[in-house]
Amino acid sequence: MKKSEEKPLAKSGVESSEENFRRRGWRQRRDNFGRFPTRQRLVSSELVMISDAGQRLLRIVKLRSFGTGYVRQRSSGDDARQWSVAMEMKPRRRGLVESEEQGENKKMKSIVVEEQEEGSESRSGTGFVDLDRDSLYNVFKRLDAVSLGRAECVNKQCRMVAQDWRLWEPFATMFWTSRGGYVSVDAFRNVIRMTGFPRIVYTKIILRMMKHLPLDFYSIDPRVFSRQIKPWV
Amino acid sequence: AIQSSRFSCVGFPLAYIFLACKKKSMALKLKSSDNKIFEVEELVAVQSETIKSLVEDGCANNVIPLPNVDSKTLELVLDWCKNHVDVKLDEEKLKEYEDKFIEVDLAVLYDLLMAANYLNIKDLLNRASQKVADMLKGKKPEQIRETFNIVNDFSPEEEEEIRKENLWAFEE
Repeated sequence: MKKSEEKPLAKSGVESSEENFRRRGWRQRRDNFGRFPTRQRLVSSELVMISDAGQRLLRIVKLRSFGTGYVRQRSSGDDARQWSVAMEMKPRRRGLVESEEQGENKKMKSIVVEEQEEGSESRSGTGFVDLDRDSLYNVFKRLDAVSLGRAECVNKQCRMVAQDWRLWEPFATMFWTSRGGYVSVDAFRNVIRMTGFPRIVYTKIILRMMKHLPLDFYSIDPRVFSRQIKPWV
Repeated sequence: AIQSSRFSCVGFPLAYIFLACKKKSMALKLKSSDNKIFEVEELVAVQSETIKSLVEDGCANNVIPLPNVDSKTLELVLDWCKNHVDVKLDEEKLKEYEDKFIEVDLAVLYDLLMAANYLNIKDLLNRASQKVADMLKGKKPEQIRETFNIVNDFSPEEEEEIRKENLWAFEE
């Protein structure tokens, strides 16, 4: 009984669509590698939804991180938290509810920080601690991504200066343009809205992903990239 | 006849006289933080935007005090400025000079950077910060702290958090 029930279901799930195509004389679209689209890859209706470069990139990153082709249609509030698990980072989202203990801890922390800052002023630091923000920024904008990431860990002042988006923007845009798309401001906004991360953190995620991903992004999902926007072609 | 009438107004000769007076290079007096007075030509000193704006505003008649720059640094900076008055003279020589000039002690480099920032001399600022950036490149935070003598003011938890955020920079 059970077998007879299961078999036709499975058939109808996999084959019926192909039969349908054949019966109606439609050709199923193949991707760039000559493969038929399978369930695991994105469906065309989802492709339509991927209108902006930002969404496209986000999906690919998600695909890679969770290992499956399934991408949720709408990003829920949990996304940022999931990401943080994946990236081993703290979620930073406005909407996140903090427990009371965390709030207290934060207050305590801020107090401690203030005390330390007062102390450092009286200490009369030696070397490059005294560098004001402008000149430190001037130095930092000549660094590559890795050195910038390392220099950020040196000092509170360095950390503060390195939080400038202008320093990270070239690395972000470099990545975007290397994919062959154009960079729109909305793309960034979309990404930020969907991930819940600030731009800089997002750029860092990209930089980290790039170390683990194959350089040839076209090998991930060619169907996604077949929709590339190339105004010059 | 119409064209010549353009110059026939009363202000024309006056303007020429005014320009001629202005073009004559005046000697400016700069006072460093330890009360040493340097006399330099205006063309040299004007390379710093800060002094330039002072001169244009007409505040440069007396001694210009520079409280953030000490005499040693000011001497170096003025030397730089003198060599950059006519930039198009000899580019190779200038490059050699710049390379020689910037290879200095760390403390001096720091002073130069601060002075260039204060006096707003773009070339010097760019060169000095490039030098510092070269020194920073490819170094780990501990090494940077050692070379630049910087105190680590993070708490261990904060540092760990920031390191996690920048983990990709430490993987090799």
